[in-house]
Amino acid sequence: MSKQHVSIDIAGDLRTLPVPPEELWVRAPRPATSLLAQLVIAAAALIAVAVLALPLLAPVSEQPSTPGPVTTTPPSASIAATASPSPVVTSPGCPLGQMPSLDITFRPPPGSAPGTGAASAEAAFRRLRPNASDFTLTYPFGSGPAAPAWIVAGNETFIAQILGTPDGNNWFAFPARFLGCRTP
Amino acid sequence: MSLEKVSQRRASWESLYRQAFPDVYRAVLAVVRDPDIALDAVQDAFEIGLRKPPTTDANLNGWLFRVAVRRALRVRLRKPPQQLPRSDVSEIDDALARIETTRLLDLLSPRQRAIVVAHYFLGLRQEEIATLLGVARGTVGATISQALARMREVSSHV
Repeated sequence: MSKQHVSIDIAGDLRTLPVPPEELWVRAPRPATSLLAQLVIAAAALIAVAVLALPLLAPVSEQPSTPGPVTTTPPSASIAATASPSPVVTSPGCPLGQMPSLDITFRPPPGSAPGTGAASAEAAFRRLRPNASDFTLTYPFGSGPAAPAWIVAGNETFIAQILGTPDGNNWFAFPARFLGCRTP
Repeated sequence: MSLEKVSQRRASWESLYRQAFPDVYRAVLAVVRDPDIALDAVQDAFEIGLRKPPTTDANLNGWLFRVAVRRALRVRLRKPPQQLPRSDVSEIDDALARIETTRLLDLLSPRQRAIVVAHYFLGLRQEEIATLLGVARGTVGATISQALARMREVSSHV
């Protein structure tokens, strides 16, 4: 009985595997960008805190002489209101002279680094939600090539924005909620 | 160390790494079977080498492969990898499904795959693999024999 010889060309086969584009072989240097990311996160957090705190402070300032119960009840009511699911805002535009306040969920540190994002707002969103098939993308914050995009997908909303320069793969998308308009 | 020297060291290491990347990436991919995790692990190996370079440039592929495979198999549950563009992932996934060797490697454990790939693709000797992976040389030899037997057995039935 003859034994069948089976040849497996491991090296030849594996050499045909595709490799990623060269620009992805090395991650973009992190130190300078992580500081930028931290500043962006800190700024967003400050805005979010300010927006949440304004409704809590308003009743207190209107009734400075009212003791006890008046100051405790409104805050808990306000917190409950902001904690409940907000409606999907399809176009977070604001009147002239006001700025939108957004609650943006950035990636945890080291976060997103310029050069590692996508080439467009849509590509950045598709990277974040590869399975999303039905979504709308608008530019309510400006008309320039670097203006952030607002994306609505089902009951979720996102912002796509540029970190770094408009050139290269610098578009990133993050879950975001429109909290309201504020005067700068 | 001066900024200039740091910059020179990075450039030198990056040059060596870029020469090694295609084969090392393919080898790691063949072991871990996930394009994103493979890329993340090889990038990690580059950064580790930047902080603490290997003592010799000889067998650089083997060093990068060992570091990357260890990262890929240990870290994969703790850290979300960098994501490749989806078009690249589908191209790589298609290749993994199409190429006979990668389908046969599926029959093996990750450790068996690592040894087979290191020997037959990266060209490392059994002694080198034993040193890199911290196992006995006899274990490497036995693993290769068992793995090839399993792959041939299934291949002959295709």
